[in-house]
Amino acid sequence: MIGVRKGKEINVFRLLLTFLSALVLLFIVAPLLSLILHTSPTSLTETATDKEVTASIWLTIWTSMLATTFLSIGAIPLAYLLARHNFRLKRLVSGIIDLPIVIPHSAAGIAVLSVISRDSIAGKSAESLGLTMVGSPAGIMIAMAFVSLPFLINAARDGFSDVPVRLEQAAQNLGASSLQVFFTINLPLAWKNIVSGFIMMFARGMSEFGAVIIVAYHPMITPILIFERFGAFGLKYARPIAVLFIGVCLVFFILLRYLTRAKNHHA
Amino acid sequence: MLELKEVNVRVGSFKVSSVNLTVYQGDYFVLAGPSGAGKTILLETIAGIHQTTSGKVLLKGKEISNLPIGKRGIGLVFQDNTSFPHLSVKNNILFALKLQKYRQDEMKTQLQELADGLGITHLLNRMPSTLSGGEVQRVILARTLASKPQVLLLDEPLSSVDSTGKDQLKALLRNLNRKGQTIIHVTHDFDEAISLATRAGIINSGKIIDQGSVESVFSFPKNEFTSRFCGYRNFFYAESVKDGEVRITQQVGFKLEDIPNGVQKLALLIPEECIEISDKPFENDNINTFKAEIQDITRNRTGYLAETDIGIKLFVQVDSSSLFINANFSIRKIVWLQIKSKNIKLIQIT
Repeated sequence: MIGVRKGKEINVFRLLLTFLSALVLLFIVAPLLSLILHTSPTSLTETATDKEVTASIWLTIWTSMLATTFLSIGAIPLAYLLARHNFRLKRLVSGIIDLPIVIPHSAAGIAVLSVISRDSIAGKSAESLGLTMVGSPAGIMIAMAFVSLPFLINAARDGFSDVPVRLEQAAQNLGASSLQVFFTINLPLAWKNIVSGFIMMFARGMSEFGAVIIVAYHPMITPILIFERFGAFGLKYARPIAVLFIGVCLVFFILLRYLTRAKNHHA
Repeated sequence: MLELKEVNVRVGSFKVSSVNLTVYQGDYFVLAGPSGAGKTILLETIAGIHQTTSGKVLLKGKEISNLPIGKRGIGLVFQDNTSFPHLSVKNNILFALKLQKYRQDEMKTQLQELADGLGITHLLNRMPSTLSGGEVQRVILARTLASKPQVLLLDEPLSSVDSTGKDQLKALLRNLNRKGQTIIHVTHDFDEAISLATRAGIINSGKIIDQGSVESVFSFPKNEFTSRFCGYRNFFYAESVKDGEVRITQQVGFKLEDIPNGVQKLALLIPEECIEISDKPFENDNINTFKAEIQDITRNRTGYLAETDIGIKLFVQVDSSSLFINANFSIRKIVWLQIKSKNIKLIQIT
């Protein structure tokens, strides 16, 4: 008897779990689904051939890609340092790295702008080299990188932490230098984490709006273009670009999920 | 020849202190001791993973204490599996060979020689995660030998290997040593130590407490720990020596045939299988005869081990074929024990 009652209790609990989970899932899927269902295929093909739209999507992709690539040159060594070395103020450094995630992105944009604006030292020295940062792809990249960098650093740090120190010592014992150990042991073994962090940073950079709009309204990245079309022409005109851009983002997101799954499977 | 002179190391709260150790060219030196004795730290200090706080490590008379890990001519096989998981067996070995800067054709020959020597030619294209414990150890051994170490350090190399693999690996290590490879092998297993060592050392609580030939270390253990390690349970420090009798306590003493003159510090070792046991008093003589109570009985490979009390705790081995195994052989029974003087080993403690 007890067994049956117990079994029933579990069933009720599972029913409740399923119901609540379905609600949350609906909460995420419904707006996206409604967006897609309200967009006609003709408007979508029209948008896809709109030069302003395609230029904006390309701009968004390459600025985010370049920002991620540039920053990874420093971010990967920093992640390694955090994973392997203990130093004073390490906790503070880790906290600083997470800061861009928790501050409002518009505030992040203001912060970036105050460093690169024409009145600042960085802005002035860039200008003297013939580079403008505000309102340029360079400014977009800086704003994107600022808010998305933590994703790469944290993922890479976790990857490096998972590599047993013993393997490094074994390689050193065989005569490998620290640099050789880094490139032949640490980097290959942390590679999957680094790649997934790289894609995460790239995707996060592409979807950034708040920080970029303050630093560079023009040239227009897609999130800003969607905002502008919505403001000027309304929901109907903003929708197809949104659908198209979500599609592009999804490709990278699925790639990321696939990579992380492959990693778990390997482990 | 590898020498450690007054070496002190501190790792966290653990200390290895005043280690003096000599390992000769061609030795198979087994360093034995319990878990947490400092064996691994000592090996890792020789390899350069830990820095000495004082003292010197010398290899062929040249100080290596300050050289970086990879420049000491010391190969270390860790206790953990350190095969590189992202590289095939072949590439694991090539990893070490490439660092030796061989020409392409030399590298190929070296790889083949190592693989043949360690019996892993059929595994070359496998990934380490698909190998058994014994196979992994062979691969790591091949990789370490590829760096041509003058001294090979092995940290519990048989601990993750099953019993058939153990015998094969032991044969392989012995063979390697016969070909001239100097080896320092760390273990907490006595059988492993006795079957491989040409010379041995005992470490306990961060100190080397004995070292020398296998005979001197294992046949005449100089302290209680070594005696226990070698499987001897009846090891007693002597309290005094008087009239041909070595006293362990005020009440218990053993008569011995020749006690060297002028020796103050002595210990006695009584192999448990050399003690006669009877349920009646012995008739012949009463030298080294004791009345005892059986306190515990444990079954073992050849029969039973009885723990008896004669004023001190004395272990007695009773074979399963022994006539003594009868109704009287049970806990709390009173028995009589006799030990022939010639069976008592006398150990001078220096």
